[in-house]
Amino acid sequence: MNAWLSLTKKELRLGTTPFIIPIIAFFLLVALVAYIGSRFDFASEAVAILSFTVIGIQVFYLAYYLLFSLGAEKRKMHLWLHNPISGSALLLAKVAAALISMALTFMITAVTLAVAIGMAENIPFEISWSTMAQVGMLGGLHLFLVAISFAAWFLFLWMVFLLLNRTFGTFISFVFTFIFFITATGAYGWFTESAIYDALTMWGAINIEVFVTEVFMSMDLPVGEFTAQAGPLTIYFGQYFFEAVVTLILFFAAAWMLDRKVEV
Amino acid sequence: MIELNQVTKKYMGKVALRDVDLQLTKGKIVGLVGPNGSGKSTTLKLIAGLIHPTKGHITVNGVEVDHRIASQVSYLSELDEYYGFYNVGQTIDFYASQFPDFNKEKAEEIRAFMKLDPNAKLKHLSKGNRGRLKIVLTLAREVPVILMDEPLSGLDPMVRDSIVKGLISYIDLENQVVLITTHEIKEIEFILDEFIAIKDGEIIGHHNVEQLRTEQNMSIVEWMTNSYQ
Repeated sequence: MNAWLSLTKKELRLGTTPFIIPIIAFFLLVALVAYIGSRFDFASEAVAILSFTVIGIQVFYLAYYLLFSLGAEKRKMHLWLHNPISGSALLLAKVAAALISMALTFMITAVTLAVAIGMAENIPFEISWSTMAQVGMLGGLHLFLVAISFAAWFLFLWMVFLLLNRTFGTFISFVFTFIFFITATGAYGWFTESAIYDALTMWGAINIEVFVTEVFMSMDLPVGEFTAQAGPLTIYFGQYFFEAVVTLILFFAAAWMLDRKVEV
Repeated sequence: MIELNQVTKKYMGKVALRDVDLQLTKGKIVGLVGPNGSGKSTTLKLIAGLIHPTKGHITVNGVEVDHRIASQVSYLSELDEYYGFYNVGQTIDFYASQFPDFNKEKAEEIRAFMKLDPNAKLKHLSKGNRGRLKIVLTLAREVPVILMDEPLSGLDPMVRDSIVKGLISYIDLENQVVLITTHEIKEIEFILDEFIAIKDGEIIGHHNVEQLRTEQNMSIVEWMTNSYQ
């Protein structure tokens, strides 16, 4: 455990640059947007829109961070792999460092959003702080879940890339990995439309209509119009379970490739 | 201790090692010699589990190797890459955290012998000093197998001699086997017990250095000059 914690600390240091760059870029953008917005008396609203957008983009944060971290490690594979720790623990240290960085970045952007909303005067609806916290918690949780799923896909694809790189050059390996990615996601997309997928995932129904109604009423928006368009507001625990299983399969497949197939 | 059984390694169809059989036991310092591209580094990487044989099996103490054999193998790479954000002392600490067999006192002793400043940033170290640090990190581990790929590369010829003499004092010859590849054969010959000559991916000779000297009155370089022609 101590070895893994030290490894995670090393990953955090290796990831200093990909951690700091987006934060600096965000603050520069906030300053720019606030300056331009202030000329139209729209500064807080503009910052709120920017923060909201940046929070949304963070579904790709883990994949971005891992790309940087694994890219840096590619030149030092003999150092990284010469370790008695298993491939899954090596990858998990990187994922843990990425999650810590993402959590800090998320907090910074979320606080900026909350402050901007609090200061905004031109928002066309009223929203209570308790509702905002509820929506924020649920949205934040899903943001992290989707980001973890993307990270597992990325790790899997990176290992495929490293395997191809044993035989082909970097560019050809990248092209083949990209083709594999398009094919795999296409096949997965097709599968999610199938009856088998529905049978596997449509269990454990959770009705979120009450929650949506509360949010819409708190915002003073017409609930009926939304529910009529969206249909029955139900999510399935089975979908979460299925995605978790796929994520774990991708992660352990990547770890297996790292242990057994990837070469220095 | 180390066993290669009919090991072949190919890169894109090109043979790097062909049907190699090799057994090495503890208590020896063994030189792996041969021209560039003969398969020396490939052999060490295979034993370290950092690459995988196309055919055949490799075991260390009866365990089939993959990268996790690092628990029993200390490997010094020919590559000159480290985590540049650490200094010398932090690098030693990091290694100590990763390998339970890492002897920090021994590392400090070797570091002092190598005249390395513990506060020096790795990105500011000269190639020679990075080479010394590699030796510190490799020899400070108390493992059965030590693999050193060109450990003298980049070192000033004037200090090589003292470093080679230092090497032998930091190796536990009762419990360890050391496999060294080098082009500086003359400089390490006096510490070698055996040498393995490799050519085009095949082992062409495995000799006891002392026997070669007394029975055939030959040094390793002289043997190689005769054999590689």
